[in-house]
Amino acid sequence: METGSITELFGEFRTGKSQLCHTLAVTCQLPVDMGGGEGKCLYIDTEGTFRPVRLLAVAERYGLNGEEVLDNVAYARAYNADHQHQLLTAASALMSESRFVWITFKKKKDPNSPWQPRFCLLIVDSATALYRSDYVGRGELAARQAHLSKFLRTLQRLADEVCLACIAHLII
Amino acid sequence: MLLTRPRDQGAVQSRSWSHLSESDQRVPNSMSHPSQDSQAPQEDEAYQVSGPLLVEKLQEAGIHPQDVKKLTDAGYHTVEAVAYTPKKNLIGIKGISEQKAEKILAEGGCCSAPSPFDAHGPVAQKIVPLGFQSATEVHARRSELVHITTGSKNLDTLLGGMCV
Repeated sequence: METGSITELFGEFRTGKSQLCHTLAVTCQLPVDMGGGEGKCLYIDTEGTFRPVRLLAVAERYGLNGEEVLDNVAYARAYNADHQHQLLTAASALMSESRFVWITFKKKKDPNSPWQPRFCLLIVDSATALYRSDYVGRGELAARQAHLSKFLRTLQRLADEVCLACIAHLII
Repeated sequence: MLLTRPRDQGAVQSRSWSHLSESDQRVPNSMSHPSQDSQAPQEDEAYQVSGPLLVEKLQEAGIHPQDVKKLTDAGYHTVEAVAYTPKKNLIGIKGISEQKAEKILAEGGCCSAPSPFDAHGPVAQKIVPLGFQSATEVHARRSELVHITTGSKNLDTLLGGMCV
């Protein structure tokens, strides 16, 4: 997956979109030479399908420490379209700060540690689900499209600024 | 809101179970009046730790009682229900203006909960955590989840899937 851009997953239900998100949340923590991003992951969940147990299973497959993997995933549940957008703003704040905070934190813990994780992946598990229920009918279509495009624009800006990969996971 | 076991499992749970069996042995009526029991309030506290908060809690945060009444009339009985509602739905309630809705939402929910990822620390008296948290916390909370049996062990495994 390319960093600095948005990758969009779509497909029918039960085709493995959420499963892929869970896998990527772990693989992004792998070292670069193993195909990872050496970073942490932000997970915005709109449908309540996030299962930490699945992360542990994937971590085991890659031989990573389960506890560390869970610690490196920041999770937030979005409850409505406005909230989803607010979370994105909070996410951008977290990302710009995380680098600094983690470097100082790591220094305290282990001054020789060469690995200073920062956020490298943002997952929005189902970007459109909330829009479908919050904006009902054709009358609100314009408002819905405007809000959605604003959301995607912020996502893109985030991808450009902090050079991370984003997954927006759309169901049509 | 997830149905979870009380935090202080060892002490509280054994107490609540013994309490249940006590009241079972007594008159059946006593079940419907748990407030008469001296042990009841302690149990309530244990369950409120993870349970929903009544919308009246917003009054403590400086929302006018009349506005709280309007919220209850519109069907929002818990702080969570209010915090999870889009602003435009709150404005739709008769007598709630846009500014009021904004104030209520600001008091009710916070977008950056105190977490190891947050550099700011706790944000002013907000009630419902709506921000990022680490997956470790989510995992810990989910492991406290109460499971309801279907009667068949195999079916439980099948439905429970990864939770078992």
